Amino acid sequence: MDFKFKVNQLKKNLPLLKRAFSSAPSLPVLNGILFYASGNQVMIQATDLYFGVNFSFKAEIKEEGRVVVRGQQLIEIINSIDKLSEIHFFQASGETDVTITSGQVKIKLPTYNEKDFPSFPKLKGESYLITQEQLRFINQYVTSNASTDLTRPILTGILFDFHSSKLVVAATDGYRLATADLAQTSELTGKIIIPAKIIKEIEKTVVESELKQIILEVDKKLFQAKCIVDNVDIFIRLIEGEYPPYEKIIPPKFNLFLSFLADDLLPHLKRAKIFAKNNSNIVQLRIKQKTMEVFANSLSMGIYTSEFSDFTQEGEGLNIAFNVDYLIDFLQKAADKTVKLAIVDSLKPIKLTITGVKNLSYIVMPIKVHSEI
Amino acid sequence: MSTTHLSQPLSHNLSKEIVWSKAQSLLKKNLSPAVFNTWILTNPLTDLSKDGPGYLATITCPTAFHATNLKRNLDEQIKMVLNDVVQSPVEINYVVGLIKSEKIKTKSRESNPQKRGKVRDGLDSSPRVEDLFSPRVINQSNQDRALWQARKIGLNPNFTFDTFAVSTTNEMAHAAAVAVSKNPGKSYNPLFFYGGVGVGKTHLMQAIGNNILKTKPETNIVYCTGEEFTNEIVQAIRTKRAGAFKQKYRSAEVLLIDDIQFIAGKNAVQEEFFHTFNALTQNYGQIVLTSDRPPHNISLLEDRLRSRFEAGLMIDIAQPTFELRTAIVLLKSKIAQLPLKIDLAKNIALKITSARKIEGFITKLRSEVELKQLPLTPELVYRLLNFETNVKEKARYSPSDVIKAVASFFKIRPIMLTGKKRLKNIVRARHLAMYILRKDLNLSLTEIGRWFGGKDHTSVMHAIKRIKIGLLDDYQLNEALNQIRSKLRA
Repeated sequence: MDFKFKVNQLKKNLPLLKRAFSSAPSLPVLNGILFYASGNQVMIQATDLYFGVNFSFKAEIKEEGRVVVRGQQLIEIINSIDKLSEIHFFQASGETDVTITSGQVKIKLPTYNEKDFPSFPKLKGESYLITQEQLRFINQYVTSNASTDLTRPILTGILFDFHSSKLVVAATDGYRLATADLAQTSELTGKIIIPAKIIKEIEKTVVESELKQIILEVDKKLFQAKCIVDNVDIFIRLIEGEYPPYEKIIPPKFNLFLSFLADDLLPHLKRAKIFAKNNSNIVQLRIKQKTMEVFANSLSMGIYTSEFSDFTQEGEGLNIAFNVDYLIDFLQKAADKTVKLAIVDSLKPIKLTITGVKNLSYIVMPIKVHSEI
Repeated sequence: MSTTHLSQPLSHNLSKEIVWSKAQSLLKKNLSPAVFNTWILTNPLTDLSKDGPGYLATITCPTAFHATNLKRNLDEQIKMVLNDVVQSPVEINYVVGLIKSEKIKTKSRESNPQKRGKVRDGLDSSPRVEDLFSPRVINQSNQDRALWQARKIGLNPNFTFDTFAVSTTNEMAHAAAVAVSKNPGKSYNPLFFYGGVGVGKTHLMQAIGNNILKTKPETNIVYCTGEEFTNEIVQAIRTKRAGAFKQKYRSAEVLLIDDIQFIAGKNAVQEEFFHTFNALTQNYGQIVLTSDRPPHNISLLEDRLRSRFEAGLMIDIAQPTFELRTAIVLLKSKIAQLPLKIDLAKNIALKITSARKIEGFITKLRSEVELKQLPLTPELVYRLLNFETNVKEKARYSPSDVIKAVASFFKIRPIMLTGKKRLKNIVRARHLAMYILRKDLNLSLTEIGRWFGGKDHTSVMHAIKRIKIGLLDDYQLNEALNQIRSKLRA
């Protein structure tokens, strides 16, 4: 087997390849990356059975072949090789090892029996389309709200709820929820939950490519999705289960509206956090008429108060408490834009929106505080 | 999943756990540990059922990768092993899904404190970090939405099935209403309630709406009175916005119209209602109507509407009986937070005959207790009751009307009433007539005596006293009095 190609082809998909390796797979061949050189194309595959990646590209093939090369070190080496150089794979007939050369570097890697390498599944199902813009938007505002707690896997995913002509995405960790409405031209419907980590990964891949659209082929029976970005296929195991009823917890009507620049309130919250972190991150907003007191009590270690009046108000003031991290998270995303805070009362979920960013809602559950300490 | 075969459950000596356990040990012998751990251990047999002469086994795989490769490489081997164990041909079906033990693991996680925003425990007034999707929040949110939606539609949130007292006079209507609210458009369509004033038609109709909203707050319900419907049509025609009007009414999933008799005789309105009716029923929309009389008594109602109403379920709601009135008193007083003992409630029900008047009485009672800070005692209740019953309507009937009415009620001839016969039932009727003449027409005792063949005024006094005492606890006597009075006033 003998072929060569530009290192960049491997390098740009390195993060995806990395993800396809688990630390101690039960099957040794899963430690390897499959290289299949045929005609004038090289196809590369890697998987840990839960996540898989498959891509092909043009290469100069002197002798065809199919080989599974130990992957870990290869990936690490590639990192340091310049992307414009060429890389040459060579396996002499009868030999099991593969010699890989690029510029001054020459490595020899063991191989696995290529027959042991698992087949990738064939999917039967609908194809959904998302634009690069939409993916960027999702990752900017929605994705980080998913949970990282593996004991509740459903919450570690992003919900993609396809309605005819509308796509609703949602992410929540059980205490705050972000949801956005995006436009869809197709009439396809369906609900899928994609792990948040992978959505972030996909965006990185997309940035490299020039294509503006991402295709999501979904096989619901197999709980498998294939995300096609340019020439890369990303195989994702969808999260199974019932996503929490996010539409049901958004209050229909609010009693108090505050409008302000995110950057104006942010410093108050960051300072309050210094004290709040000793007390479950609890920060109180004591809203009066046209002015509010930001309050945090770090118990025996002191009290923080500051006054904030740069906002417009519609409705009666009240006292309400939050885990300040949830507010800081959102306000940082809003940065220099105006934010609208809608409150029902001190015990019901609140809604935050950014002026100019349409169709995005951020819902946070306040904390019930008994007494005003 | 193969659905063409009819599968039967396993016979008890071949449980799937035992079968799989045996199969696994056999497979383990022939496969390398790596292969076994990757492809067998993580892909258990989750179902085994009889399928004709053989068996259908289901193996659940965590991912499509597992399913694809298992099927490709090890299908034959697994089949052979299973054959050996169950001594019959086995077909295998590979599905992807969560394996039960994983499911249990994820379910057991309940209110684990998150790393961020940890809750302080051990203190009484601990601030609670609440889950956005806790049942409490979801329920609360559902209620809020239902309430908000109800307000938008114009439904009174107090008119629910919970606050509707049921008895023989309205149980049919109530049962139909409940059935319709559970399955709108599919059970009785249209549903037509009719009955006198204050029997609960509007309450029941709105309860249907409120109940539907409880489970599906997004339901498109339109509620209006016959009069409002009429006004809207007139307005729509005048301002040339018929399109919007049609859109509003014809796209409803549930249409509730109160006092539909109002549209009778108004041709344009009836015409529009006819089209609305057809549009809705075609789409399985539910229509509920109330009226003060049954369709065949609504004069000037177009035949095509009448026949449509009569094609649905028509139920009458009668005036409440004493038992129902007692229940209503108890219900309304409970809602007003004025706990009344059942005897007291019964007495109120004896004296007050309409649900609306009971409402008024409870309100008055509440105002005495709250605004005047009086304690809620039976004395207070009786005082107000007496006042209530003493506020008479100006009697527009004559003594002879009274005698005729009483006689007719007891099914005796008027002459017997004014005569001297002392049969128990006649005496009773006579005394009651005297009571009415005294109470309603304010005749003097002597004058009353004259009407009854020259009786002495003390006899009249005695008779009236006996009736007064009797009214305190004799249900039948009270009913008799009420019915006679109703007849006289009509």
